[in-house]
Amino acid sequence: MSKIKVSFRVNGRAYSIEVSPMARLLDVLREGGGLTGTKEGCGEGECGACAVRVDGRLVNACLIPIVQMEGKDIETIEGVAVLGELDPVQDHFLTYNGAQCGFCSPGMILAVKSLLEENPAPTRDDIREAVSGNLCRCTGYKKIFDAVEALTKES
Amino acid sequence: MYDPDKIEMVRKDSLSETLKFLDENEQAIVFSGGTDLMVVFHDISEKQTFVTIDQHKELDGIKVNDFEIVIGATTDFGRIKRDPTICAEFPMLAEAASTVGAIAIQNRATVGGNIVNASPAADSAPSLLCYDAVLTIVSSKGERTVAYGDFHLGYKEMDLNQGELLKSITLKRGEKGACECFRKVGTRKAMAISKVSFAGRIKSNGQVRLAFGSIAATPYRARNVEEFLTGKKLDKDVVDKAVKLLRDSINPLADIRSNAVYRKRVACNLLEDFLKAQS
Repeated sequence: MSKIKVSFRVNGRAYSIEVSPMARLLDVLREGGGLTGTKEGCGEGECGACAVRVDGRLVNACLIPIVQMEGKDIETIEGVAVLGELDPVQDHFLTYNGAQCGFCSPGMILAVKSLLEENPAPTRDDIREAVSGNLCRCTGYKKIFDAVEALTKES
Repeated sequence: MYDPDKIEMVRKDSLSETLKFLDENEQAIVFSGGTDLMVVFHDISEKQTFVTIDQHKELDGIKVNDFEIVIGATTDFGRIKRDPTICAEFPMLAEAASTVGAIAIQNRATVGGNIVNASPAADSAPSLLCYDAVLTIVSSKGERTVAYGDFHLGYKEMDLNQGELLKSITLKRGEKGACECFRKVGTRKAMAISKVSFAGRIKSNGQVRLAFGSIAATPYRARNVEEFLTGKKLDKDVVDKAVKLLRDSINPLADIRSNAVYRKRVACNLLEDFLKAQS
């Protein structure tokens, strides 16, 4: 199939690429951009390992054809820490052991950031709902909820 | 994972060009948010042609006037669940939107895609049936409307012809719903396709609407039960008769998610719960 030109921003940097329109955003980020922080867990939008933010909204990159990303602002986990300084969400995940193998963490952290931007004082149930699309096989989720609760209590 | 080079994805700048393309290409599949389509075509061996419509502003957005709310077909469930008019006046639709997949899915899945994908388990269907939604369908020949209750004709068959595109969903405002309830029964609170879903609404004028998902080949309105209940006081006898009428009317299928006995039992329980809560 013929390639098309698609222009978008990733973590604030502008890109304009020649690409198959149906290439998944996940693959464009990982293979094309070398941004391997975003993971493929299921490829079906069920696990959240591929979660990124597009125009500030949490989405699963495995379900998005790149043609629909024309003009969009995309944020991946690589864009979360600023100039080497960890984001408070990342920092609390470390302190409270919210990550073990780390495979779910990029998507999980972006889901938490999405929550806190909308609701800086979430209940534990709000946190639970916010990450209900992010599966974790290691932590049992409790430490993730603890990390987020601790962060919100401090703010 | 599919080979992106096996799939043609057409993107036209204008809606009229898209409609012309659909007229001329019978096999072309309309691609909105993609949360259903990106999953099902993993095993594509033949060439497929998709037509993306997310760029067409005419299909997007929520417009409110004094009489009605018009929801563009490419509006995603994330926006639907947050819309103040929908939350205040059509709460079952907002509730249904919040049960779709999970947040990352809601931010991409569109109400138009949910309708036209025509799964009997479609989360938006029961509430849209209860709200007497009217669909506006557009083609190169113009626009027409169809009552959503008349739209689904059979399993994955609908009143939508080649060259036609679902444009918007219209809900009439100002009908005070006395009480309404949407419930989705599934294996989990998120990321679950419903085993049974239910929307019920009793308007202040006594009119009743009862709709179910996942118990028939299409989203199902229990019209005979609605008729039986209209204007009646919901005492124990009436509720029991209504539940029995539903039990005798529906023939749910068994599939990988559930068996027929469970579906029938739960559908009747949901109806009974709803009616008992009103009395």
